[in-house]
Formats: sequence, C-alpha cells, structure tokens
Amino acid sequence: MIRRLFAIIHKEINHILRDPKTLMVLFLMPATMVVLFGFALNMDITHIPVAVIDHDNTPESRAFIRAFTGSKYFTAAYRIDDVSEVENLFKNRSIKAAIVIPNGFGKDFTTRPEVDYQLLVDGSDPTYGQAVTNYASAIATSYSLSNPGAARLVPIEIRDVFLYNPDLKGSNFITPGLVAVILMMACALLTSITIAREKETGTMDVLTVSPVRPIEIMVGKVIPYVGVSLIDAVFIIVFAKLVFNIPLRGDLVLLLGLSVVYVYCALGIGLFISSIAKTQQVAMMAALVATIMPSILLSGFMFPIFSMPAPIRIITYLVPAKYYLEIIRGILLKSSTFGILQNQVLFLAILGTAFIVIASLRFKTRVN
Amino acid sequence: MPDEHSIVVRELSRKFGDFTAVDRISFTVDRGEVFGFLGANGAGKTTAIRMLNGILRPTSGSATVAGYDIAKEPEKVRLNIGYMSQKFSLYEDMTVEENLSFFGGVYGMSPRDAGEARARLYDRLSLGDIRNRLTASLPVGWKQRASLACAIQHNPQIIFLDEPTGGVDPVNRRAFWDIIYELSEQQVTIFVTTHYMDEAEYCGRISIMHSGKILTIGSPTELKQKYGLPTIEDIFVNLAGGRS
Repeated sequence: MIRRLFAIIHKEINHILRDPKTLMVLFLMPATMVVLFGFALNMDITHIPVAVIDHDNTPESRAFIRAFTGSKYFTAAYRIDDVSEVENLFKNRSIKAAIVIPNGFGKDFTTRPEVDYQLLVDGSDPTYGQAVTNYASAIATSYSLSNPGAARLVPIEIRDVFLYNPDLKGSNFITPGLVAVILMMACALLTSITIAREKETGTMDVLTVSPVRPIEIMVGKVIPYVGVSLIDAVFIIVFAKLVFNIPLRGDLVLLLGLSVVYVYCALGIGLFISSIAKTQQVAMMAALVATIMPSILLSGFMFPIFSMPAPIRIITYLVPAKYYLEIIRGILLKSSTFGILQNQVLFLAILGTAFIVIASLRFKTRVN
Repeated sequence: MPDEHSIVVRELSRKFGDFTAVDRISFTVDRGEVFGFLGANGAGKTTAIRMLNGILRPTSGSATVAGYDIAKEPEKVRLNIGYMSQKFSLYEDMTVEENLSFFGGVYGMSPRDAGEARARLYDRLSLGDIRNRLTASLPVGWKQRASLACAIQHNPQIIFLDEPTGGVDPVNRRAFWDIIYELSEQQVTIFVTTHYMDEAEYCGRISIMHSGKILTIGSPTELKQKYGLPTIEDIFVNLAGGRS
C-alpha cells in the first residue's frame, strides 16, 4: 500500500517537473491574470469626461462647477450652451456625464434652502454610471456644507469610516479574490488532465491490471499537487503584494493552512472531471468552464452574493471559491482567526471529500 | 494450486445487458505454455481477458488464474500476472529505469528487490545502454522491450501480451519472440492475443474466438490437419469469416 502510493507520488512529481506546460499554468498564467485583472478591474474611476452647461453663469455657479472639475474625478471636456448638443456627445462617447446648472442657480444659492442642478449620466454601463452618480453627489454635498448660504437646510452629516480597507482600494478586494480563482483553476486544470493523459497514452490500462487500487491512484495524484499548489498560492500572494501592495494582515501561516483545504477541494473537482473526460482536451475545457465561471461569477468575487436571487444564492453554497474568498479576505483584510472561519473550512472539507469519493467510485464502476 | 495448469476457465460468460460478449467459454492453459488467443475485433477477446485479469466480474462460470479465483481474489490474480499491450504503455517523460522503478513500486517490490530485478533485466534484454534515456526518444523495438521489462520484473507466473508486436519490424519481432520462448522455458505461461496470423504460428496452442464463443482450440499443426488448410490465416478466415 505505502510502496504503491509512494511509487505513484514519485511518478507524478516527475510528470510535474518535466512538463513545461505545467510550470506555465502554475506561474506564468497566474502572473498574467493578476496583472490583467488587477489593472482592468480597477473600480477607482478618475477623470470622468463631462460636459458643462452653465445657464446661470454667476460667480456661485462657476464656483460650484469648479468643485467638480477641480477634483480628480471629473474633467470638463466640453463647455456648451445648448442641452440638445449633449446627446451627440454621449453618442460618440466623448462624455460620460453632463452637469446642467439652471438659470437662477446663483440667486437661489444665496436665498433659498434648496438649490437644484441636473446631472445627466450615461447609463449604458450601470456600474460606471453608479460610480459617477456617487462621486457627483459626494462633491455636491461637501460643497453645500462648506458654503452655507442663507437659511439653507444643512442635511445630517454622515461621516463614513470604512474599516479594513479605508481607501476603498479595489485591488485590496480583487487580488485576494484572484488568488481564489487562479488556485481553483490551476489545481483543477492540472489534475483533470493527469488521468485523461493516462487514458490517452494507455498507461491507465496497465495500472488497472496492476494491483493498484483506484483510491491509491487518486491520493497519489492529489498529494504532489497539494504541495505544488501551495507553492503557487504563496507565489500569487507575494506577486500581488509586490505589484499592488495588497495588505498582508492576519496570520499568514493560518492562511496557508486553510489554503490546503481549498486546494484539496479544487483537486477533488479536477479528479472528478477527469473521471468523466476521456481526452485531455475535453478535460481541460471542462475544468476551465467548471471552475472559472462559478469562481468569478458565483463566489462573491465580483458580484455580492446577498444581492443574487434566492435560487442562485443556494447554488453558491456549492462553489468552493465562495468559502475561500471569505477565508482569504477575512485573514488578509480583517485578521480573522480560525474560530471565525471554521464553518467555511468545514464546508470546503466536505465538498472536497465528496468530489474525491465520487471520482474514485466513478473510476471503479468504469473498470467493472 | 494444480501445478500443470496456469489458467483454468469453466463455462465463463459475461453479458452486457442483453448482449452476450463472452458465451460459456472453457479451456485450460498449461504452465509454461505459449497460448494464442485469436479472434476478430468484437469477438469477445478483450472482455475475456479483462475477466482473466481480475478487472471485470463474470456474469456466470468461473476461472482460476495462477491458482486464484478471478471473482474471489482479483487482487491476488493481478499481483501474479504481468500485462503488456500494443500501446507499450510506458511513461514517455520518464527514463527506462524510472519506468521500471515505478512499476516495481506498483507491484509492491522493495527498492532492493526491484534494483536486483532491474539489473537482471538490463542484462537479459540488453537494455543497459538505454536505461537512462527517456522512453519517448526510443525506437519502437526498444519501447517494446522496455514495456516487456516492466511487465515481467515482478516475476509473474503468467504474462498477458495484448497484440505485443504491432508496428514492430520483423527483426525485432523475431528477437521479441526469442525472449518469449526463453520465458516459456522458465515455466512462465504466455497468453497472447493477436490478429497477426503469422504470430499465431509461434504459439504452442491457439484458440479461435467468434461471437463470444471459442470455435476451435489446438496446436497450429493439429488445426491445419483438422481443417485441411495450409495456414492459420485460412482457418481463421474460414471459421470467423464464414459465420458472421
């Protein structure tokens, strides 16, 4: 038993070290993804091009506009007189928003409790549009607070304090998520092709005729990949730290320990896929679709789970990345401890074991 | 175990749903015999062999291989047989030595026993010079030999050869059969499947299978006399072709 297992582990290590493709999946692909996602998914929008239409043209209106264009968020791309021109600017994507100051703004500002201005926003990209609206209302509120006119209603002031990620830096949130996505993808991808490859080359036939048991093949394949994947996890985190300077709070040893459970789960999925797929190509495609899509869309990586419809929310319980995201964001950003994360660990362990057991059962029934 | 019989098959059948892949076949193979198991594609050969290898349960009937019941002790069966297929199932990104060492471990050999077995095989199959080469880079004839080495290093009582000389040139094929005969002289039973009819002539006895049944069994000479035909190929075409 031990000799057989050891023989398989040793063989797998040989495969890993000798296949340049494996090393590419482990190191080149994650590095590329961290850079691409990290920059492209930057939610911190600046220099939004706006058109300014000032019907009032008083010192008050000009000062109000300066509050926008002087900030790093907005740039006055056009100053126009006629609102009808705005539509063309939106259509040819010269601007993302337009600020319209009505006639009488200056007078109202000094005499009335409420003053209106209009903000037109390109809603074709809702995320972007939402960000524009938020920035604009923040600027308008802060302007009205610092320039009290006559008898104006001062709204109750909210002083927001964002804990754990005070600058609301997107990369602090995204990069830990990326670790989850990449680890899942790399592990599942690599293991899913190992069995398919043995089927293609015929070595699996020889193994089935040998005294090796299916579970020994599974475990023998999982162990070396757990080691390799952990090295990969450290690589991704260090790389993200160097490129995006993400915070590394919390217990990193704990993070590594809990990553083992996640990796175990990912490898289980890989083995499960390879117990179905007959060729390496099929295995590879299946692994990519089955891991990347849920890990990105259903894990809370990009879209908050609590805003999903109930049936989909239930499906997310089967997505391992959901639990790992809670673990890695918790540890890196909030210094969470094991006690807080034990449910997530439990779920991952159950999912992983289920996948591996199903994979070896499938493997066995195919043989019989 | 009965010393003279390596394989005893009695009324062995296997059904897949309504389809009977192997239909009550019976035969025995003696110790040290070179037995040719012939049949066209789809005749049920593969199913029969998988049962004899202990990886497929029979629907009915029984068989012992190397003295162990294939249904009751499949693990023991697998431990005492060697298997080599046409695909020369070696790991191509590993050297000859690494392949041998891997299969040694798979058969539970201690590193020391495996090392000694390897040394003997290098000598016997003249593999010493290529032992550190990746098997991907070897010519077919050498791959075949390395494959055979992997199949016999744990000293199995029976070796199953599944179309062992596919794609191999005549010189290497002859060299391969010389090794097979040598093994046979050392009382190792050889069970060969093939549809190369000239290869069938090398066997001590052959059986011809068709539609799940064994149609005839005997030495090549006996069969030629019995059917009055000059070659095994003629007999094969006559039996297998005529009835389909």
